[in-house]
Amino acid sequence: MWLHFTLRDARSISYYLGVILIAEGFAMLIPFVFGCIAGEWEAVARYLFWAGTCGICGTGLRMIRIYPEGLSRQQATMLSGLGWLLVAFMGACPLWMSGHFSSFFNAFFDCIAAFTTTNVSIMNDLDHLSYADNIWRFVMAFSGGIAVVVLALTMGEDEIHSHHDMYYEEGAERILPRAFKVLRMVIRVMLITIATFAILQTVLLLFHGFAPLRAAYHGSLLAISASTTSGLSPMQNGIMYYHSWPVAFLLIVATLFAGINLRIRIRVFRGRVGSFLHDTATRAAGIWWLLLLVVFISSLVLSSSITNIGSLITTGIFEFFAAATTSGFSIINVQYNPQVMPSGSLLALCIVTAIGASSGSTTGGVQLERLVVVAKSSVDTIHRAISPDSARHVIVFHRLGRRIVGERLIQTSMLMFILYIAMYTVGALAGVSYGYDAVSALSQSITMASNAGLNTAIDLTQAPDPLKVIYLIEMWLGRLGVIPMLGIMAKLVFTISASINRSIIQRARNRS
Amino acid sequence: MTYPSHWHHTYDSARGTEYNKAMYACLYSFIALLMCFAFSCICSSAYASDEQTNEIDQQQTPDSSFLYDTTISDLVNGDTSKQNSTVQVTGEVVGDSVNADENPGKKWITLDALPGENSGSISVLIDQDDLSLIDTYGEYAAHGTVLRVRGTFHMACQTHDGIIDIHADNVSKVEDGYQTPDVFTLQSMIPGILTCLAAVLLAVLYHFVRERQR
Repeated sequence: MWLHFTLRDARSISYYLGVILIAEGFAMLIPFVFGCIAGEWEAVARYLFWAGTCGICGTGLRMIRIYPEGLSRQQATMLSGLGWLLVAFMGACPLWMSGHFSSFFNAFFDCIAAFTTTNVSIMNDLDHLSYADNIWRFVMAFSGGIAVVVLALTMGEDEIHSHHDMYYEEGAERILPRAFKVLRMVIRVMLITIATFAILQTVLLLFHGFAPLRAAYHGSLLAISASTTSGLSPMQNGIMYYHSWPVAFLLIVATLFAGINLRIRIRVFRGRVGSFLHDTATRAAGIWWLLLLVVFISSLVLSSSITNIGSLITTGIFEFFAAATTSGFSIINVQYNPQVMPSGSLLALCIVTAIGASSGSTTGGVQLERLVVVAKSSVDTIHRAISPDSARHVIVFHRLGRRIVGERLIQTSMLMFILYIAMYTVGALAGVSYGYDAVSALSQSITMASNAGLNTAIDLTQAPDPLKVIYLIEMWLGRLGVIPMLGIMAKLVFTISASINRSIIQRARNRS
Repeated sequence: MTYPSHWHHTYDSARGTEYNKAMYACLYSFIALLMCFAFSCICSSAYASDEQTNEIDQQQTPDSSFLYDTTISDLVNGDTSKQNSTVQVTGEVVGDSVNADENPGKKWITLDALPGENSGSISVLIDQDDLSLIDTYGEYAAHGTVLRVRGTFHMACQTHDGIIDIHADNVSKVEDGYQTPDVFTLQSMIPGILTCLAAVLLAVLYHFVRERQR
């Protein structure tokens, strides 16, 4: 039997949606302030208006339930799913009014991409976007990145941890206090990381001939982009704009660091590098990435029209790790061109993007932990087949200590694996049905569902709206977790159908 | 009209005269046919030799001596036919000029497609001296200098790690840049101020209701 949402659930959720909207209103004051500094009065007026509107709507939603209760796990999942859509909707309003989008839907699509840290933009004329609007894009990516990590560490996306020290030890009633605790921790780590990389990037850009203020602006935005693995760039040309290997190298270091589980990052900050080196996901990344890197570079060296081997290897390594961390940075920008990127290399990039990096980080995709659990359980199944019945089998995972992987985690990991593959396939079939070739459609679908945003041959500005809706759903499901979102959607459908049935029965009774 | 002496016997009667006329006509026609045939043979042989020399060489690479006047959008959207060709594009300078470490004395600039064209932007490697042509870099509230650049287009530049670029040989200014700064007006701020005030009032009301319910 499916449980239904109650009015009490709806009121609790609306209260917290209100809180999120008010927070978004305050976040809009950041572009407002930068707009004032840069004298962009048109943008200032927009952000002031929408900050106020967010405040009004947020307080209105809080009025629905004056005294909130602690969130249950189902309510929190529903809140995260709806919250993402609502903040993207409100965030799209000032951007749409900037005149850089051909429709509101395109602005909404861009905001969903930013909040889900996907490097996709269908904005027109990015190079003439105001500082305020550009900063707002990165504020959205930063907020989305933080929210993803908080969700992963409190809502069970980081299964290796959550199954051990959250729900089963503390119970569902403790989600909210724990979420606030994790939020503070995540913000602190992210800000330290971003500040460090921003300073380094600024110095590098100064050496590359940028004016000091422009260097600080670009350096800070690039640091946010790398630390949230969103891959956004303030300029239309992306990372190519900077023509600098040190800048690209630093970006990759930042994205690799962002691809590590946040708990392990904290340990690394504290000097306990052993936690990182002994982690099963780290070791899996070493083997998995090395294998695919060899395939990728071999294909690139043997088939690409670029003949300079040194350039090929350095470019290849950058492109590979940008894809592996699902950041979607690119320094060649024409990945779909077979002269630059042969189909074999593109396939390797798509596979590595489909898996992504570690859970408990801003990277998307299936994630390495699930890959390890599925691989280990497969080996274990074969092992069981040739072992005596009395033999005891355990699957061990090293994550801040030795952990035994339970049946439930194996089941969840396998299901997630299958669901991600299904999602990639559905997106690819949708692309094919709209006339795109199979390789482009598949790579675009993978890049959307894994929140990477690699360049493919599909020009999203020209893509039909229904296809964009499918990509939007892929980004949303990929970011928030397929299982909880599908569960919540099913629960919502059952709630609505049950209420309709009740009303029909009530009418029949009244008639009789 | 005089005729050769050995033809005189044919002029004895009117009938003979008509016969001669017919003979002349046949002769001229035969000569004309012969000439046509000879001419057509010469033409056909010449045409055949043309066919032999004009065969299409599939392996021939594009000749870079030809100049393609194209748009930035065409170049960045994967037009491989212009790879390593001399192209000429016109675009607006945007962003910043960046040092080209591998090419001393050169700078990178970014050219954006002009309004009315499909969007796109491309990196152009120019001489440092050409920077003097740029009076404004395009950004919000600034329309950058419009430059016409002639140079070699690389879809995947061998010397610059496979990026898409143009190595400029000639740069000329088409149009000066100009600023279009926003003008501050209190009227444009009024809706924002009102919504913010309303939000603050609602927040106060919420806290008031909350305190009363406690």
